[in-house]
Amino acid sequence: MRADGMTLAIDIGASRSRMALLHRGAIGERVDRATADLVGSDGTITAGLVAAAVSLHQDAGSPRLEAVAVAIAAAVSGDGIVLQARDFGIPAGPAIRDGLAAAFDVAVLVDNDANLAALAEHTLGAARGEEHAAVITLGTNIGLGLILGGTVYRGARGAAGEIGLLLVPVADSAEHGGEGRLVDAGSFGPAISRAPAGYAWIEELVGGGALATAAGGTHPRVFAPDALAEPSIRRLSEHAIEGWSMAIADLAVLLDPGVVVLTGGVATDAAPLLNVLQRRVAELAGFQVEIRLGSLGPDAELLGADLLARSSLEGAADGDAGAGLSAQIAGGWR
Amino acid sequence: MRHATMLEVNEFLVLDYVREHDPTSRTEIADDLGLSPASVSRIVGRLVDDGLVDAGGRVRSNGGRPRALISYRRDAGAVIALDLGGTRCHAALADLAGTVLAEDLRLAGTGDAAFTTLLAGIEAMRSEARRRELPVVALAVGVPGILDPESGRAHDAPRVGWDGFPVVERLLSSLDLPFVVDNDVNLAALAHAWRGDARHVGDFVTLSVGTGTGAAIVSDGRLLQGRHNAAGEVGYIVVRKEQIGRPVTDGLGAFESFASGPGVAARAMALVSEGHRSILGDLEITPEAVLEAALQDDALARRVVDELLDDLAMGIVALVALVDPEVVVLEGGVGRALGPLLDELRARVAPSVPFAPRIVISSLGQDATVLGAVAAALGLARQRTAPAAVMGAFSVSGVAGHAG
Repeated sequence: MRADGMTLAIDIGASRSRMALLHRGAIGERVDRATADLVGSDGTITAGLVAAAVSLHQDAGSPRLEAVAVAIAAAVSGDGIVLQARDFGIPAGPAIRDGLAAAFDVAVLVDNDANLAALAEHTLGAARGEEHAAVITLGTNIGLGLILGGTVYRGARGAAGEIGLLLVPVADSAEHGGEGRLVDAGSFGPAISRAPAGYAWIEELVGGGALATAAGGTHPRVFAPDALAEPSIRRLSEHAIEGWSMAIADLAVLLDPGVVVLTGGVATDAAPLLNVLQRRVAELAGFQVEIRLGSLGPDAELLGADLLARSSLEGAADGDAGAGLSAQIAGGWR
Repeated sequence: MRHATMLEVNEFLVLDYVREHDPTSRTEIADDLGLSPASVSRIVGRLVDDGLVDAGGRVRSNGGRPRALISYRRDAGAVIALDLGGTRCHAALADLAGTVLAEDLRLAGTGDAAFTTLLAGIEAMRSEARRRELPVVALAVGVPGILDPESGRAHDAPRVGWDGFPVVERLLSSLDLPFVVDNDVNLAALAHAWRGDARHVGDFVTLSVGTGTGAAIVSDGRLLQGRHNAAGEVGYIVVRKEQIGRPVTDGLGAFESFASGPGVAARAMALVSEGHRSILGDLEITPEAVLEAALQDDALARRVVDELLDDLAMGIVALVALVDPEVVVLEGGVGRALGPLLDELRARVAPSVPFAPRIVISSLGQDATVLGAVAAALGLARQRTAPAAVMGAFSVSGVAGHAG
């Protein structure tokens, strides 16, 4: 039996949050908000997110919903609990899942955004048909969804794919034209302290947010052709390519995914430098790694959330959901 | 040739139990191993079908229904396991419950000589099996390199001088037994899942630091193989700023060149030759000597060990960030010697990851790979005799062949 109602898909990123109603995989009404605008007096996005979702649903005429699915830029357990707060308003715990469930009275599924981008690219996009693939989301932050053996790989606690936490060595300031470390760490919340001396987490070094900050805020898109005309921005882009190459090379030698798919706005901007990236990764890893651009654009996470909702609904309808939707997803995705 | 020799670890646990408590009953097995009676009955049924145990005897229990006695068939056969390392070749003969009956150790050599040593180890164990009148039913070999599943060649095994060595083809022409060849660290991970430090752990990593450096990543009881059977090559991760913006030309991974036995010894030698004072100046500089000197607060050795711990922490952080394991088991000559420094290593890892894994030293000594090879050979034997029973709690990525 196939689920035939609508799903409400939500993608919460560090800078933008998108939500859309989907029917059979097709995106209908949608809204795009700055994540910062959703943050309430409690410092979290929970109430603002629920209100925005309810508003979208009402504006669309309150169609019958089958499920709500949320892609979130944080590590998430198999039953939809955010494992670690993020400093852009994502609270740890079940608050987002439970808040949406109370508002809509349907099943609410929550997963890491990169996992869902990987699910979408694997099912519908650039990684279709691949047994193993790594889908890296290059936006304000850096995320990773892993397809290993044809399924999304989550790790022991749901925290696999935290590629932003890869440590890479940092050159002395003098070796990088005085730039040195680009931004302070801290977006990973209180469980993480600081990277050891001489190293940086890849995300604090060459994530989109870090690059924009290093560019002085004047060039949030440091790979745009007009920005690259400036020598300092060009140096920054070369710095980013080197950092990404290190992360992708580490990923390649540890997990041997065969195909690496880059998605997200920063990846799209950097597309002309894909060959340079591929060459450098091959140098560092010692073998060729196929790097592709994602084919689903910025909607990959929304489409992945919809796939998650529909697959779990079909599982439930078929009567094999075990102890419930959450358990079905946790068990089925390992 | 094919991939993935599957075996069910619970079957080995039951078989181990029967061997150690011979004779026993289904109830005792279920109670002591924490398995359901239905699972035990199913597993015992398969073991009976495979000729590994007898379930014919009956004894009346205290006033209740007669219990069926389960007993172990020691005469059913044997397997041969080999660990071809950079310095030694370790062969073992084991019965079908995995009890090691005899062992053989010899210097490994390189290139063709390494293969000749391998065959000599196999022949020594076959001879022992003949003496014991045990039919050898399968064989497994661990090699320190990457197995190409298509060609059956071993690559990136500098410690035995193999890069493209046709190990499967050569074994096919030399043996009349079913066999499986796999990466040595993969087999060590199998041993840890079976009888080591990761029993009943679904997600773990075995990180081997010795003559070379490698990792095996196990997810939900299955080994991550990767597209080219090359997952876990931690020796090649980027760890030093000297790599920034520069090509990699020597073919040796940066991590492995620092975080390995030879890397530790080379670093200490370099510092001694620069004139730094150390008790190592009067000794043969080996990794063991460096670690020992560091524990005696020798400043030079301590500096080398601090660098080693920094590099290892980098590697573990990378593994944790990407795969989120519950346990990291340290293997290899250097890895196993880090017991006194384990808290320092843990302290380096914990601040950089959201969920610190349990980091433990291997309890299997130098035998993890050969024990994993025993398990792989048993799995291969079981797969051949009862393919329908192979439900797999663990898969081995090795390349298998059969002649005869």
